Amino acid sequence: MHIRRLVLVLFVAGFAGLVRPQLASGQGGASDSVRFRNPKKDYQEDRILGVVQESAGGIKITAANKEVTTIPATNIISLEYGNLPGLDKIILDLRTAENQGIAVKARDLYTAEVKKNPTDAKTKKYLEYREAYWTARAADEKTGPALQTEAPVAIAKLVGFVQDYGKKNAWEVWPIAQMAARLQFELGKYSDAGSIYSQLSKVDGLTPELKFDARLSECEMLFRGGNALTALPALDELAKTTGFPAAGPLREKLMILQAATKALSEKKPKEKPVAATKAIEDVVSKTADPLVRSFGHNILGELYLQVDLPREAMWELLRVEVVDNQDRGEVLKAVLRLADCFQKQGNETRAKAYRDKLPQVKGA
Amino acid sequence: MSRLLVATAFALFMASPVTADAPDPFDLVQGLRENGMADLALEYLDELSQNPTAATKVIIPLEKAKTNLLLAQQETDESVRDAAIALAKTDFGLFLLDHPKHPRAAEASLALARVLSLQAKTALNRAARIDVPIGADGRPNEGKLKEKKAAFAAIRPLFKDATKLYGDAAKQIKAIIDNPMTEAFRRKTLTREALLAELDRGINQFNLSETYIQAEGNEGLERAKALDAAQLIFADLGKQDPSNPICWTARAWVGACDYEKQAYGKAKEAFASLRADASRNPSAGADGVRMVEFFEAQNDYLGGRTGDLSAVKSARVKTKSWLDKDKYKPRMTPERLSMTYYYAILTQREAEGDQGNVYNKKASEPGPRKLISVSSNSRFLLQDAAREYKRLLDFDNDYTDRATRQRMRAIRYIVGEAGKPAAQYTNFDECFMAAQVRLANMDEVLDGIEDEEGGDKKPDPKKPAPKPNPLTPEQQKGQATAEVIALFERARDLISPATPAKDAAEAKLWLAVAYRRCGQPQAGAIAAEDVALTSRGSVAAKAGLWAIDCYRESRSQIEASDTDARLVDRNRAISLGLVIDKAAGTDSATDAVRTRLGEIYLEEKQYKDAFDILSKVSSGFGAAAVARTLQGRAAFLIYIAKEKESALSQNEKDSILNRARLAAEGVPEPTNPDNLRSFFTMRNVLAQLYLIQGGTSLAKAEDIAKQTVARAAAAPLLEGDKKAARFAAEEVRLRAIYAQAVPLFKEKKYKELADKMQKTLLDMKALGPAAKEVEAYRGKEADKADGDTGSAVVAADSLDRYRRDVIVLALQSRIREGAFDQATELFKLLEELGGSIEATTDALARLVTQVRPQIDELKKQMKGEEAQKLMDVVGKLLTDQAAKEKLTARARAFLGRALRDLGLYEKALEVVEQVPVVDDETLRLPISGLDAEKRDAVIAYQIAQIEKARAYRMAKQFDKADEILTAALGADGKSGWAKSLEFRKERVYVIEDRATEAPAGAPKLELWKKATGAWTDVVRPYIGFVRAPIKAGEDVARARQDREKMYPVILDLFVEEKRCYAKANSQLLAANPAKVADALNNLGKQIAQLEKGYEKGLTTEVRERYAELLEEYPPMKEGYKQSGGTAFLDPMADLSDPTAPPTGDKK
Repeated sequence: MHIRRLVLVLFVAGFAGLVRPQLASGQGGASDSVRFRNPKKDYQEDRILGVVQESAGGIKITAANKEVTTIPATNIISLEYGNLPGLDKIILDLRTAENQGIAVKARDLYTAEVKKNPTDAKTKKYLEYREAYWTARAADEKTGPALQTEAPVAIAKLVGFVQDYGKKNAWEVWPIAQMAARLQFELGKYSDAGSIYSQLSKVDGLTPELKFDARLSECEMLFRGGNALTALPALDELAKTTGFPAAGPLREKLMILQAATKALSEKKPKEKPVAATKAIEDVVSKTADPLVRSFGHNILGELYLQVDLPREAMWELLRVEVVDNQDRGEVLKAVLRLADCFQKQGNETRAKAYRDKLPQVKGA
Repeated sequence: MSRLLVATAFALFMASPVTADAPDPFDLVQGLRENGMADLALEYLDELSQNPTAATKVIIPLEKAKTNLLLAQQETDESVRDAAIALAKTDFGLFLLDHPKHPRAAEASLALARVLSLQAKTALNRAARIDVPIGADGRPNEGKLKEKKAAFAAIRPLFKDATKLYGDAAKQIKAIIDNPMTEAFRRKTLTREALLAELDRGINQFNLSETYIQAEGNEGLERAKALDAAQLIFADLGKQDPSNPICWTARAWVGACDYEKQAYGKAKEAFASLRADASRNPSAGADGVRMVEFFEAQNDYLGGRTGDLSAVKSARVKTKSWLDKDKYKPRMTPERLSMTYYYAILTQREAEGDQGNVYNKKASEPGPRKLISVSSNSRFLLQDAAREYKRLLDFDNDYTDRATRQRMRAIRYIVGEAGKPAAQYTNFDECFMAAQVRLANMDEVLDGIEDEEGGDKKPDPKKPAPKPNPLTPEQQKGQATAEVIALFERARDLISPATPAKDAAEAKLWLAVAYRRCGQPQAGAIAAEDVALTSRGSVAAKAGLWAIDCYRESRSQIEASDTDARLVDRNRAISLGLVIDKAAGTDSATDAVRTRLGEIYLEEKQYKDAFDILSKVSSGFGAAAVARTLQGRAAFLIYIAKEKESALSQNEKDSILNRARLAAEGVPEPTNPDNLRSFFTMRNVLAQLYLIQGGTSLAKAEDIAKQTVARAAAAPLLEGDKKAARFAAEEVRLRAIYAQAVPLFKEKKYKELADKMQKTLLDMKALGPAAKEVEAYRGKEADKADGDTGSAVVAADSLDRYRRDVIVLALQSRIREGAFDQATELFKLLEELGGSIEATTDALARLVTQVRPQIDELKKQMKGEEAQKLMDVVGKLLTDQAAKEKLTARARAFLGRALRDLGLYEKALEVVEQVPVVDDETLRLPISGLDAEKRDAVIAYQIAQIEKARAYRMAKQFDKADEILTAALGADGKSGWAKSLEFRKERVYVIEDRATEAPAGAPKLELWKKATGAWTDVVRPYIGFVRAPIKAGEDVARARQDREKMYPVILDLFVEEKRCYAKANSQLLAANPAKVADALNNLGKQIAQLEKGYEKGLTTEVRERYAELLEEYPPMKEGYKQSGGTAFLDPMADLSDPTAPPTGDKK
C-alpha cells in the first residue's frame, strides 16, 4: 500500500512535468533531457540525458556512454531539447505562465509564437505541440456549459495537430490524440472519441503495440457507448489479428474488454455480472502491470454502472482513483464516472464534490 | 513463532500489493483514508464485514480502528473526539490482545502508542487548565493545587504506557527491516517509520516531564529524570542517519531539553552545532534548523510574555519572523500552531501595555486596573491578535480553549463599555462581546434602578440633581433587559457562513441565557433547545442542559392546576434529555443532562428509568458523586418496592443493587473540596445499599460507614460541613451495628448482644452528645466561614436520637439478661446522651413498648416472678425519671402512660396526678390556636386524663374511670372538652370491662348489649360521613379522596366492635360452644364483607389488627375464609424490613 502511495506521489509529480513541458533553454550543444515513466520501476518517474531520435512510436535516447534507451510515446512525460533553433532566449512571460499553470495565458503566448511562423521544423512542431496542449488545458479548466463551448474548439486544435503530424513521425501525436479523445469522452461523445482512436491507430510510424492499443481504446469507447454488438466482433477480430500479443498487458486488456462487452450484450439490470466479474478479477489479480489493474477496475466499474449497480461501480472506480492510479488517463475517466455513481446513489454532495474536483484532477 | 518468522510474514504481507496476488481490499481502505474519504472507508469495511474471508475477518477490526481514529482526529467537538479516540484505542488494544503475533501487530502497537500519547497530551492540556488561585497570604490554594497535582499524576501512566508501546513498535519494525526478505523500497519506508516512532517516543517522554509541576523536591527530581530520558532518546536518534531530516529534528529537541533544564549555555551550544552541521548538509538539515529557530523563539516568548514592554515587543518580532519564514509550509504543523498563539499573546500584551490606553487607576495604585478605553494603535494590535486567535479556532487543537478566552479578552477591550445600540453593530464578534458585557453588567444596572427606587442613594450636593427619569423603575428594568436581549438577537442575526460554527452555537446559547436571566425561561428553553438540536457533541449537551433547566424553571412558574401546560414542559425536557443522551457523549454536559433526567425521574417515582439513565453517567464526571447518590437512591427504592408494585424479579433487583454499589464504589474521593460534601453523602448512600440487604452485607455497611467517618474527619472541609458529614456517616454506622444486633435480640442472645455493643457504647460515652458539638450553631444564622451549620445541627440531633435507640436496645438486652446493674449504667448513659429530660423520657417510653410484650409473654408462661422483676426494674427507671424536678408536664404525662403500660397503675396515677390542671375554657379552645406553652399544657393534661381513666379501668376502679371520662366527654346533653376518639373508645372499654367482670345473668347481658351498641354509636358518624352524597359543585375526586381517608378509621372501629361481639358471645354463650362457634363464624363473614367494602382502607396496621382478632377466634377465621377474605390472612407479607430502626427515620 505504501508503495502505491509513493508511486502516486511520484506519478503526480511526473505528470506535472508532462503537463508543463520544460521550455527549451536554447543552449547550443546541450544534451536533450527526457522524463518518462519507467515500467521497470513501477512506472515511477525517471530521467535520461542524451541525444534523442524521435519517431511516432516514441524516442530513442543515446546517453554519453552510448547506451540507448527506447521510450514508447505512451511513457514520455516531457522532452527538453538541448537545442531549439530560433528559441535561444528564455521567454519570461511564457515560463511564468507555464510554471504557474495559467493555461489561457500560456496558450495565447504560444499562439503568438506560432503565428511568427518559425522556420525550423523542430521548433515549429514544438511550439504547435505546446499551443495544442495549452489549448486543451484551458478547456480543462472549464466546467458545465463553458466546457461544452470550449472543448470542441480545443478538440479541433488537437485533432488538427494529429492530422498535421500524423505522417511526420512525431511522438507528440500520441499524447495529443489521447487528450482529444479524453475531451470527447468527457463530453459524452464516445463514438467521436472512438474515431480519434481509430485515426490514431492508422498513424504512420507507430509501433504495432501502439496501434493495437489504439484499436483497443476504440473498442473501449464502443463498450462505454453501450455498443456491445459492434464492440464484441471487433474485439474478437483484434484477438485473432496476426501479431497481437498472446500474453502481456495488451492481451490482458483485450480479455478484460471481451468479458465486459460480452456481459454488456447480455445486460441484466441490477444483476451482478458474475462471470464477467470473475474473469476480469482473474486478469487483474494475475497481471504484473499496474496499468492493467487500473484499466480492469475501470472497465468493471463501467460495467456495473451499465447494469445499474452504482455502489459496486463506486468501489471499483474509487480503487482506480486512490489505489491503482498510475495511469492518469484512467484516473480521469474514473473520477468522471464517480460523479455519476454518487448521483445515482442520491449522494448529491459527493457528486458535486467530484464534479468540482475534475478540473483539479485534470490539471494535476 | 520466532521474531524472524513474524518479521518475514510482515514483510511479505506488506509487499503483497506489488506481487501478482488478488487485489487487497485493505488497499482501497488505506487509499480512501489517505484521500480524505475515511467515511467511505468505514462504509467499505462494513460491507466487507458482511461476508469476510478468514484473513479479512482478522484485519477488519484493525482497519476499522485506524479509520475511526482518523475520523476522531478530524472531529472538532472535544467530547465526540474523546469518545471516538477511546473506542479506537480499545479496538487497537483488542487487536493486539487477540493477535499479538500477527504480521500487522507492529502497526497496531504504533497506532496504539500514538493514541495513548494523544490522549495523554489532551489530558495534560486539560489538567493545565485547572486554575490554582493565589490566596491573600500569597500561597496557592491548597485544595486546588492538590487537585491539579492529582490530575497530572493520573496522566503519567498514559505517557509511560505510550513510551513503552513506541519502543515495542520500533523494535518490531526494526526486526522487519533487518530481515533480508524485506524488499529494499519497503525497507526505506519502514526505516522512516521506525525513526518517526523513536522521535514520537522522545517527544512523549518530554511531555511526561510536564506532568511534574513543582521544580523542587521529589517532583523536581522526577521531572529531571523524565527530561534526561527524553534527551537520551533524542541524542541517540540524532546520531542515527545524517541524511534523514527526522534525525536533525531530534537534534534540535536535545537543545530543547537543555532549555527545559535551564541549561541555556548547553542549549546554545547544541543549537550552534546543529546550525554549523546543517550548513554542510542543507537539504537534510533544514528541518533541524527550523526546529532550532522555533525553540529559540519559544524561549523568547516565555521570557517576553512576563517581561516588560520592550521584552514583549522583541519577542513579538521574533515570533513573527519565524512565522513569516514558515508560511510556505503546506500544513499547520504543531510548531506553527504554538508560534501563532505566542504571537497573538505577545501582540495582545503589547496592545494592553500601550501608553495611549486609559485605565481607571494608575499602575502604582493597589488592586487590579480596569481598561477604560484603548488607543488606536492598541486597537489595531488587538484586532491583529483577535485575527490570529481566530486562525487557531478554525479547527480543534491544543490552543483552542486558550485562544477562545484570549480572543474574548481582546474583543472585550475593543468593544469597551458596549454602550452602542444593537442596530449599530455590524460585526458579529463585537456585537456578541458587547452583549455579554452588557449582560454581565445587568445586575449592577438593576441594582442601580432599585437604589433610585428605594431612595437609598444619597444625592451628591456638589453635583447638579439628575434629571428625573420619566420611566417607572419597572419600565427602566424592562428597558435594560430588552436592550441586552436585543444585543444578543442582533449578534444572532449577524451570524454568517464565515462565523465559526462553535461561535454561532455559543451566541445562540447565550441568547437563551439572556432570556432566562431576563425572566423569560420559556423563551430561553426554546432557544437553547434549538441549539441543542442543531449542534453536536458538548455544545449540544450544554445547550440541552440549559434548555432542561429552563423548562424546569418555566414549569415551576406555571400554576399547579394547569397540569397540561406543566406536562408539556416536562415532556419537552425529558425528550430533549433523551436526545442528548442518545448521542452517547462522554463530556460533562452530557453527564449533567443525564443527572437532571435522573432527578426528574426520581421525583416522578420512575425509579428504574432514573437508575438506567444515571448508570450512563461516566465515573470521570465532576459531579459523579451526585449522580451516584441519586442512582443509589433509585436502586434503594427499587429494592424495597413491594412485589406487586414492581415489575422486577428479585434477581433483577439484586443486580440493580449490586450495580449501584459498584458504581458508587468506583467514585474516588474528589480532590476539589467543593465536591467533598456530595462525595460523603454518596458514601452514606452506598453504606445504606449494603445495609438494606441485611445479613452479611451489614458488616460491609458498617465498614464503609466507619471509613467515611474517618475520611470526613480528615477531609479539608469547613467545620460545619465536616460535622454534618461525620455525624451522618456515624449514624449510618450505628444503623449497621443496630441491624447486626437485631438478630441476636430476636434469638434472645441478650448477653452476646450487649457485650458486642459494649465498645460502641463506650465510644458514645467518650464522645458525648453530638448536640454539644453544634451548640454554637443552634439558633444562629449560618456563617459562610463555617459551612452548612444548619445541616450539622440536623445531623447532630438525628445522630443523638439514633444513639438513644441503640442504647435502648442494649438496655433492653441487659434487662432481659437480668443484668440490672448494667441496665442502670446504660440508663445513665441514656441520660448523658439524651440531650434533655424529654428526650430521655421519650426513649424510656419506647423502651416500655418493647418490654411490655416480654412481660406479657412471661406472665403467659407463668413466670410471674420474672415478669415482676422486669416490671420493677423498668418501673424504677420510670419512677426515678418521674421524680426529677425539671420534668415538663408533657414528659410527666408520657411517663405516666409508660407506667400504666407497664401495669404499674398506682405509680402511673401518682405521676399523672402531678400534671397541672388546665381550666375548662382553655381545654375547649381549638388546639391549633394556642401558643406553644398552652398547647403543651393542654396535650399533657389530655394525656394525663386518658391515662388516669385507663389506669383506673385496668385497676378495675370503673366508677373513677367513668367519672374522669364523663368530665371529659360530657353527659346529660352537655358536651365535654374532649374531642379525641380515644376518650370515646375508652368509655366503651370501661363498659366492656364492667361487662366482663359482671356476674352471669341479665346485668351481664345488658352490659354487653350496651358495649356493642356503644361501638355502633362510635362508628356511626364516620359511616355517615363516607356515605353522604357528594354535593353538586363539589370536586368529586377530592370528595372521594376525603371519604377514603376515613376508611382505616372505620375499619379500626369495626375491629373493636367485632372483638366486642366475639367476647360477648364467648361469655354469654359459654355453655353452648356450637352456638359460640356459629356466632364467631358469622362475625368472620361480616369481616370479609368489610374487607371488600373498605378495600382502600386496608393499611398494614388495620390488617394486623384484624389478623390478630382472627387468630384469637379460629371459627371467626373460618367464616372469614369461607366468605373469600384474604387480606387479613397474611398481613406480614407486605411489611417493611424487620431490621428497620424503631425511630422509623429512614434517610
